[in-house]
Amino acid sequence: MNAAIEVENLTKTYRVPIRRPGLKGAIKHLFARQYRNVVALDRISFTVQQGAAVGYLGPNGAGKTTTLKVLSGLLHPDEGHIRVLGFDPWRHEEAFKKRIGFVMGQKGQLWWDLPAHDSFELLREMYEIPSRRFLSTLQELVERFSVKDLLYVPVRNLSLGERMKMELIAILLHEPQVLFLDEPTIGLDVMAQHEIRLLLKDYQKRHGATLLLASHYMRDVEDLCDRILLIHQGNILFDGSIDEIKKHYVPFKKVSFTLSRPVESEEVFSQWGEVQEYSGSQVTLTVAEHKVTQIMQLIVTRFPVVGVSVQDPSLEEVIRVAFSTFDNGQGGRDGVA
Amino acid sequence: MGWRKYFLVARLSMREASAYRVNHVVSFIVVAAPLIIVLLLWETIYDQQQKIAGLTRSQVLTYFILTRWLFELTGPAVWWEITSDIRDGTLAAHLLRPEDYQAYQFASIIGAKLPYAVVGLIVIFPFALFIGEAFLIPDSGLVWGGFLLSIALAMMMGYLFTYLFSLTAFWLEEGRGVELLADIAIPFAMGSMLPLSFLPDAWEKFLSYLPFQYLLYFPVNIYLEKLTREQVLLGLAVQIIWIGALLLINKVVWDMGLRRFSAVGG
Repeated sequence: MNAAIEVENLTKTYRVPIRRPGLKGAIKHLFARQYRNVVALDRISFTVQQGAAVGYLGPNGAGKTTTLKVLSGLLHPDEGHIRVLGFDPWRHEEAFKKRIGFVMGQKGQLWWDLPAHDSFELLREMYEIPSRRFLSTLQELVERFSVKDLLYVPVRNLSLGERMKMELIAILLHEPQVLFLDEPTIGLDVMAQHEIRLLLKDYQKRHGATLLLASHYMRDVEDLCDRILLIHQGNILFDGSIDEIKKHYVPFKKVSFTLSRPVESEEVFSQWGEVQEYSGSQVTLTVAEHKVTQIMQLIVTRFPVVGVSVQDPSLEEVIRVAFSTFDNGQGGRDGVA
Repeated sequence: MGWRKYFLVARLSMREASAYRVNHVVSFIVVAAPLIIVLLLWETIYDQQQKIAGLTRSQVLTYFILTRWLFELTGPAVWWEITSDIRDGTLAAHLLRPEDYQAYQFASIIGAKLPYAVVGLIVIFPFALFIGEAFLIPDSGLVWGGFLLSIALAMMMGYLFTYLFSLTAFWLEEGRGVELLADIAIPFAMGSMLPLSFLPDAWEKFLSYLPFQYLLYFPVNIYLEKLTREQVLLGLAVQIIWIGALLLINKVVWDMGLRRFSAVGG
């Protein structure tokens, strides 16, 4: 397999003007501007194989959008070597533009007062998609997105969810091999979010497209991605699969027992793990990963257990732990244990 | 280079604008209504004399009707579509596509203005009837040719100014100042309030050095047959030179603006 995205030592610094408050500050600013440098990306490197789906996670201002903008050619990198499908994005070659797609939250490219079909026709001209190809791709997309009946309705009359689907079709029409997604489901209700995810997954699978997804919604990432890049303050903290990240930062599982009769005190359980929930007959413990089997056996033999469940910590919890360990002294595993 | 996509942009934009026909008619009537007062005023003024600053009564009345219509086609403005693209970041979507943004907006604006111009003709027509035979219509094909050519060039120029004014959105959070300039000072310099020859000599001379008279005053003067053939040819050449200069200026401002646009990170 070939690498679709190669990033080596990518650095990007913004120059932000410093403005002092008040009239005096404003006048001063006019004549002698002062700037401070904000490092958005600090020598990050990663590679994404063709056909892979990678989730790009980090708090606001971590550098997610900056990375996507550099990779799509919207921003010039200060330093570093970048190749997307073998192209240097900053050269803005048409051949490159025709191979990528960038989904930007609610910023769209559809003509508001016209039916979506008109905007699609325009994209066919822009991307020089052969007519037959255009028809079959469009047909397939509108059927899978179940918006066939809405093609000739003015965009302004569509619901937000319907409009997002149309926006997505607009970006998929030229069948991009690399898709950058920046908060693709922002502002949508849970059902619509779910639908958009399925459609993206479906497209990715059928076309073997490469996906780089920045999102705040963990479900987006869990449903779509097989690999995660954690980014914080311009640095990559972690690069691996969802399972690996869970093991790395939170090597625990949640074990819940339902008992046929209540136990007097929760203290008996604390020798095996931290008690998270206790209500007499219902107990939830966090247990170190490698001890789960052993402890479950112990409890089952000593208490009247009628139900057991073992749960992974949610990705959200994992991410929270990951960032807080980083903030509390740059630690990795040590900070948690 | 595919021109077809820009033709399609113009067509779509025309379709979009046509959806607001009624709106156009109403707004053009509102714009044109004061014209009746202007015409009555000049009728009265011409009761006393034959010519003012070299213009006859018929020429002045025709001038005001024609400029009111033509202004809608060639007058520069701060174009909301462009400024909002820049301010809310939608510009990025355009940059990612195989597209030239200046050409795209040109096609889009021309497409939006053409239906409006047609509506304008319909609204203006009764005014021409109102002044009757005073409304001049040139009978020389050459005059018509020069007039139409100068309108086409004036539309290009007007668009390039519109684009330039709109690009200020890269720097200005709020563009009231530029809008005032575009809405008040420039129409005056174009000759939309008074024929420039009515102004004091110093003013007329000053404004003749500015490009704005070529958006309105010059084409209408061709129509009124106030210019010699040499003057027409020279004027057309100046229009073309300004178009070249504006293309260059816009390129520089666009590049600077893009650098600024990228600096606002996320």
